[in-house]
Order: sequence, then structure tokens, then C-alpha cells
Amino acid sequence: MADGEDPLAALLDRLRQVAVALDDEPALRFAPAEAAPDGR
Amino acid sequence: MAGEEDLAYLPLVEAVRRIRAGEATSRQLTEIALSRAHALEPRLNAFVTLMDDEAMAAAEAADRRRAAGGGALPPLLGVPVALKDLYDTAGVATTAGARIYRERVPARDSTVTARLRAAGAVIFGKNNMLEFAYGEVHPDYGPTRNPWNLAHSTGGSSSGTGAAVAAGIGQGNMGSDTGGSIRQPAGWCGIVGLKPTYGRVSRAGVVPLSWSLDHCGPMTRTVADCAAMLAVVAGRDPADSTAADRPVGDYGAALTGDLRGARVARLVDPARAASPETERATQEALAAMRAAGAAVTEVAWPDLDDGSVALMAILYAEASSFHEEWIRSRPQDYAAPTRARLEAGLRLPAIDYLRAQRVRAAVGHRYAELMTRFDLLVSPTGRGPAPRLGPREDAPAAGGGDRLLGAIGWTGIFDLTGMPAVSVPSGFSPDGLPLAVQIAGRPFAEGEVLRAAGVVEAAAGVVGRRPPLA
Repeated sequence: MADGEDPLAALLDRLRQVAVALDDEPALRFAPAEAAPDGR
Repeated sequence: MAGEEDLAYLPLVEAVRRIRAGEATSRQLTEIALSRAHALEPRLNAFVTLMDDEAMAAAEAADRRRAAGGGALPPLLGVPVALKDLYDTAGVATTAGARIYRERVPARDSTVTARLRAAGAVIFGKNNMLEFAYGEVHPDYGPTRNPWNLAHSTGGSSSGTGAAVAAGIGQGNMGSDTGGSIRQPAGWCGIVGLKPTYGRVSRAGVVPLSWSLDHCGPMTRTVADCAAMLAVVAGRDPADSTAADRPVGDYGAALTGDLRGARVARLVDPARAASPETERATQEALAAMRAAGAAVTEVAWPDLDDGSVALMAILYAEASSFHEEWIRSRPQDYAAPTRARLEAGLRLPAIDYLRAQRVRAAVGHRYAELMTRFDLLVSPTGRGPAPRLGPREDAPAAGGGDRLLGAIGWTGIFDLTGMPAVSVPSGFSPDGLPLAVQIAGRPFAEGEVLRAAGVVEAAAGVVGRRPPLA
């Protein structure tokens, strides 16, 4: 990234859009906030 | 010195056999690894530390152990291996490629280091890497150069590891992977790199980047070598609560070349078209898998962009948590882009970290469902072969933001889901740069993943091809 650029704002905008889209999927709406990545 | 070069490139499993049979000595192989590392270092910049005296003493001890006989010999007896410079080595500097750790000398070995030593391996060096594995070269260490073309990047963050293995320096190596840091340099350097399942290999004594995404894994010249190293370093570890208490497989025995019954999904994302030569090599890899009995189906690659965004948010928060004290007290000691990332991570709200974890759980759910229909997922490891070193390394991502988001775009999804994924060479570009495919599988199915990689490796005919370093 270029010196002096703030990388956070664009990332959080995208993240919030992704999270909102999740609410449109009933099966995943209540996905836990944390899950072991290996499925344990 | 053709004989020496042949020994330098000896596969790890063949080196084990020759040492046991008395056809080679550890001293001989370790001397070759060290002399080759010293000779190539001005061109490659692949090492931070070479452990000449300690390694030669260990090699001579290994040769004495072999001569003494009596009882089973340890599985990697006498074989010279190196480590990315974030694996702690007792009494030897472990810098993580960072100025902040320049003088750091750990008192104890990492679990991986200790397991390799217990298996008889001779640790001879610590490899250059991107600063704290966070995507950037620190100017104190400088970039590693790709042995296939010194003007090109190795990728990262296991940059020195990729270059050293490709250049025939040592018989094996260990990297780490948080968004693709084993698989990208493996792909660009023409070697095999396995990111095992989350929890398969202990991370105790490994400098962390992002604790819920970090994975340790082998980087080697052949799939069989990768299997042999994984068998030694995998398994439960009381020093790492995330190291799974699951049986360690006989990964070498899994390399049967037989893929009958395997259901393979070729992952396709219209937004991620590979370069023509990469696509061609991927098609050839899939043809080899079909010929070995697999059924191949093209499938839309799920959640690639959403998963990358979630990964980046988690990475920002977890990395800044680890670095909080230093980023406040010694910000000038970081490379500028690393500093910018760490300062951004300090400002990432907790609710967004939780949003990212929620997205991660949803992505994990979809991949678990996908793996009820398929056994293996195949894609290129990246868009194309290694790019030239230079300004591109610091170029912003398309559309702005952090270029790391683009760098993890093909590989990070399997760090997010914790699934095992290997990069295996699949051919060469017309100008002699390595190409690679990525094969992922179900959690703890490293044997299946490596079996498929072995099929691709055999068909590609790349083992034994050496970079032009003479």
C-alpha cells in the first residue's frame, strides 16, 4: 500500500456489506461469531 | 562439481536412505548445504543466519549415531534442513525478518524445531522472510530473489524458504502460512508447499502473526519429502492448545498414485482468470487426476472475495493485538506499510472483528457443505508465475486499499476455513518460470491432498529440473 494511505476504511465498508448480505440467508443468519476453523 | 550439485538436490527421502545405507554422510550433505548457501547468498539473500559450527557438530553426531547402530534410527537422521526465521531456535537468533527482533535469541526451541532435532534432522540455517510475516520486506533484511530468475519475486512471506529449497540448499524446510505464505512462494519458486489443517502442526515457539489463521507446514522439492516432514512435525502438543489430538497419518504411504473414486471440484471464479500458461498447466494437472481415476467437475468458487475481506479484518485485529506495545513505542522500527497496517488494526472496532468472525463461520459452513459433495478442490495457486521484483510489490490493490487483499486472493480462503491445501508445481511458463496448482481437502485429510499432489507432480515431470544458478 502507498505510504500514508489508511487501509482500514475501505476494508470495513466491504466487511459491513458482506455481513449485511449474510442476514439475507436465513440458514446462516445465526452463524456463531466464532468457530474453530477446522470444524471442531 | 556436478556430483556435489546432484547431492545438493537429493530429495529428502533419498538422503535419508543414503545416510542409513552408508552411501552418504550427514557431514557431506550438511557441508554441501552450507557451502551452497554461502556461495549463493549474495545473489539470493535467502538466509538471515547460517549455523555453520552448530550444524557441523550436529551432522557429526548424526554420523556417529548411524555408525553406532543399535535400535531404530530416527526418521530424518542426518538430513540438513532449514527453518523460516520465525521458528524459535534455542541460542540462535530468531528475527522474524524484523528490526524489532534483530537481537532476539530465544532460550528454547519451538516444538517444530525440537521435533525435527529429535527426528535426527540437522538444522543448518534460518531463512529470510517478510517482516513478521506481514506482507512486506523490511529494508534491514532486503528482498529474497527467485532462483529461476533473479529479477523476479519469490513471493512471501516464506520468501527465503522458497528460494533456498528451489536452489538446492538443504533437503527440506518449514514455512508458515496465514493468507498464503507457504503456497505463494512454493508456487513461484517451483517447489511443494503444504499448509496443513489448522491444528495439525503445533505453533508453540513460532512468532505469531494472527493466531486463528497461522499454520506451520513443510516446503520441499517433492511431494514425498513434504509427506515425510509432515509426519515428523505433526501431532498433539501440550504447549499449544490448538494442536489437535488426532492421529498422525502415514502420509508417505498415502502416495499411491491412485485417485479412483475421488470427486474433484475445479474451482472457477470469473473475476479471477489465470494467465493462459497457468490455465493450461491447471488443465494438464486435472487431466492427470482424471487419468488416475478422479471425477472432475467445474464448480463456482464460493465466497472468495467475502472470505478475503473477513480474513483481512481478522488479521488486522489479531496482528495489532500482538504488536500493540511495539507499534506504540517503536513505530519507526517497522517498514512503513507494516506500520500502516498495524496502526489501522489498532483502530478496528471490536464489532467489526466479530462481524468478520461471523462471516468466517458462514464461509466455513458453505465449505463444509461443499466437502460433502467433493473430496478435493483444485485451482491455480495464483494468477500466474512470479512477477518481477520492484514497484509492483508496493502497488496499491485495484480499487484502492491494502494490496495484501489481492495477494491472498487465491489462497487465503483455506486459511480462513482451516482446510489443508498444498501448492504443487504443474509446469513452466515459456520463459522458464514455475507454474503451480493448489489442491485442498477436508480437515485432517492431508494424505488425500498429498496423494493428488503426487499425481500432478508425476505428470508434470518437473522434479529434477533445476534453476539456472551455475
